Amino acid sequence: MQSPSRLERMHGHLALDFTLKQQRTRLMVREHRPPLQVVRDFGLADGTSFVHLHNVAGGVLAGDQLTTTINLAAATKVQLTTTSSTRIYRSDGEQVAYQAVQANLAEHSLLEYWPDTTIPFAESLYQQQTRIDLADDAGLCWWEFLAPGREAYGERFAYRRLRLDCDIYALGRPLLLDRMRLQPSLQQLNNPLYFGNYSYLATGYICRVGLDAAQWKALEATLMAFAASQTKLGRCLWGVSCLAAHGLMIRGLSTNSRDLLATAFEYWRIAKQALYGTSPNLPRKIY
Amino acid sequence: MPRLGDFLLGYTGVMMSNAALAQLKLLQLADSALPIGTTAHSYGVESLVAEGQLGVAGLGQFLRAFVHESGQLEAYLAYQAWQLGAAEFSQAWLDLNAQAAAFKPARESRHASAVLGRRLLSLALQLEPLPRWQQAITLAQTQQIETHHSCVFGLVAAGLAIEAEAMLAALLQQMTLSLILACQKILPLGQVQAQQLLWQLHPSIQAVVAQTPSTSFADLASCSIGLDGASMRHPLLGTRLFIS
Repeated sequence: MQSPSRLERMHGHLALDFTLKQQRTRLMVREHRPPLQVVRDFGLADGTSFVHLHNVAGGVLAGDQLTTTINLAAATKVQLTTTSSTRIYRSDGEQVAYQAVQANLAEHSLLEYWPDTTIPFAESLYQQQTRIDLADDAGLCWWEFLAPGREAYGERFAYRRLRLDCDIYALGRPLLLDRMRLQPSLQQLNNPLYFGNYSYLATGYICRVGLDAAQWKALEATLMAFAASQTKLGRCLWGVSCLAAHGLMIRGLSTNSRDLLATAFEYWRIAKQALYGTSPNLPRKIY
Repeated sequence: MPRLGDFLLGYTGVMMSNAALAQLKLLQLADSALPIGTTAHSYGVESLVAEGQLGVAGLGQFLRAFVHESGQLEAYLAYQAWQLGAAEFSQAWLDLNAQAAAFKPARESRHASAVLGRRLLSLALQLEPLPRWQQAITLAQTQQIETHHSCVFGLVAAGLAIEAEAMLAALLQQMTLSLILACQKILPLGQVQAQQLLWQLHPSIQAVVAQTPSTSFADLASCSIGLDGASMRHPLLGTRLFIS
């Protein structure tokens, strides 16, 4: 096996531009540097451009610096998904595996992001920074799923440090600054302030800039009722809350990943119907 | 050596330094009995208790983490407000409160912070009508923004010439005590035990106070996913003692 010090550090980059042509959203890959790659986009029936994000390295290694920029032109509709879980490999030294995503959504555009679960292996060090800028009437459905490690391997919160940031701005103002630093050696993650008796985390951000507070309050009530029906103490907990404006956030904690993945789509199905009057397309995967 | 100007002559004839007077004002503003409604909120703790996730046995550990995580955020906000200069105050005040709201994903907890902030600013202005505080209230009204408790606490402390370190310690002590008082209403937690818990948190408070001046916006990553989720579920509780 190759020693970690001999592994080549990757500075991968992906720049995706989406434009509108004849009522359909088209992808232009402005730049891609390994290990990040996009093969092609698929046009969905409603004109949405559906894209698989590949990491041909199979995961993020210590020292890797991977950046992705996504630009949606006005009125474009995009759905992104990953091709597999994001595996964060161990770091033998102090080198951090780093991924950053910058998404810019122009007026009336819509971005749906359905990644697979992020799995931080034992001894991994990982930093993920996401920044999303929303213009007027831009819409967003963005999910993140986090595992405690390779549970089947007996790993639970065996990583060294995770730093996960998602900063969402609407019309240039901060809408949500959702940041967390998880360091099991310093924090007792079974503390109910963090995970309690649960291990898996799902976070969803649903936004559409410009909708008034009353509409968000009504959607919160609808999703909250659904959250209550899905919450099973000791197995799965869900919460839904309006943001200060333009959106809401969903958070789930579970003892297993399946509960989260399957339920997350239902939230978006309800929300997309309320916000856009249409049903979402579920990426073809096993949930 | 204190100078003559550092002392005031009270009606009893007792001399008190300006620093001691500032401390006195801080004690009043950080008192749990201050009528701004701090005891009406649990910030999601009520849900954690109702769900059986939090009991007396785990309270010490929970509160320590609370101080390190939520305390880090609130101390940062208060310190930024305390530092605001006269130049471009209006925009900086709007930006800071927008950040405060964005760092609070749970609606009830965010609303609690805004209500306490509004009441504290209003009360402070009735105690001492400083122009900066009036400006902050006018901005909130004209721009229709929420003013968050920690931001207001820092702003008020700066106006009263209270040192940053003392201000931060008092803020953290107050927010932790409020939570302990909330716990006393929903858990079998005695008075002495409650005071012991708070006492034992002093090293954590001290640590957060010490690190706050060097904390930047980019560094800030307070994590309370369990408590945030519990606050989001709080409206679902059938019987509730607290507003949040």
